[in-house]
Amino acid sequence: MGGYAAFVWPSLGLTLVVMLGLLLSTLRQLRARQRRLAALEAEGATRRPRGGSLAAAAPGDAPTVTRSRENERSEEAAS
Amino acid sequence: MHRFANPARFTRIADRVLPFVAVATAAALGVGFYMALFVAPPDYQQGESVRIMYVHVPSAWMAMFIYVAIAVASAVALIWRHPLADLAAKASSPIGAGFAFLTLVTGSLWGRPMWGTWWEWDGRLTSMLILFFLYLGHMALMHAFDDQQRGYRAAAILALVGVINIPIIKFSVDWWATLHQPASVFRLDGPTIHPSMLWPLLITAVGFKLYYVTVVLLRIKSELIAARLRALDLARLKAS
Repeated sequence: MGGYAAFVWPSLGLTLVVMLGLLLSTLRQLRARQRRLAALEAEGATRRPRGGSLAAAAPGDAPTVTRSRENERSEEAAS
Repeated sequence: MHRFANPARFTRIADRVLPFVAVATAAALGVGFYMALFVAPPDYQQGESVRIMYVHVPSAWMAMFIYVAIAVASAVALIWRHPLADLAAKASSPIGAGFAFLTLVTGSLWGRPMWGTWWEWDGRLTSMLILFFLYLGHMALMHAFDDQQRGYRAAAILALVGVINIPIIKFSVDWWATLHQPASVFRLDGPTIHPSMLWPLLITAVGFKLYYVTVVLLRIKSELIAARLRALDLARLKAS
């Protein structure tokens, strides 16, 4: 590297570390959230089977909340 | 745009697009880095140290591009109240901060052998540092309020105010000609950089852009799931 190895390699290395690190942390967070959602979904599904993708509703919109509340109610009724 | 603002449709499209973008990212970065290291010639003045350019310049372009993307998303969020626009801004700023950080550090590593200094309060360097702080402020504001919507609003306003910094970064090298060299690619009279260096640079830059698309799609997807989880938690709390 013509005497510049101490500057060139750290530059490239750090770039790869930051880019890979960001990608991996994004994937890890995504997987963790997907797992949690799947668990909640399964919980709800056993009590009151109801189709439809969970991602289908806009975040925080009314039908979502109502549906989950119904799940909770049927849960109480079942117990 | 409205068609993509539907979260379910967004997730569906993202899932369909992601494999292709991911493969294209890997290919462009692989070819780009290979050319940067083994094909591109050393500079006649800077020698091998010029290879830092192939990560420094694309990082700087991305840091600026992502900030503009955040500003556009923020405007859309403030005007049309698209929930996806807020999430796009939120998903983008850590990536932009990463690139701003890389720009500063690789610039420092390049500046030391070429300029004889790690840092100088030059117009370009200082405005890039401000961009990095804007990203940090944006990320902090996003999480600063219990009411998430307030955080999103505050962050969106910061993003829009801060966009003034982008032309300042771009033209800093012309306004305050102190240390950083002026533009050699995006010039009115065309690039002044030799094709043997321009091509590896452009291919790497495309790889960086594709990388951003890949990661931001994954992050928006992740944010949508997080929003669902929050809604479910809230419903549980209300029900109990």
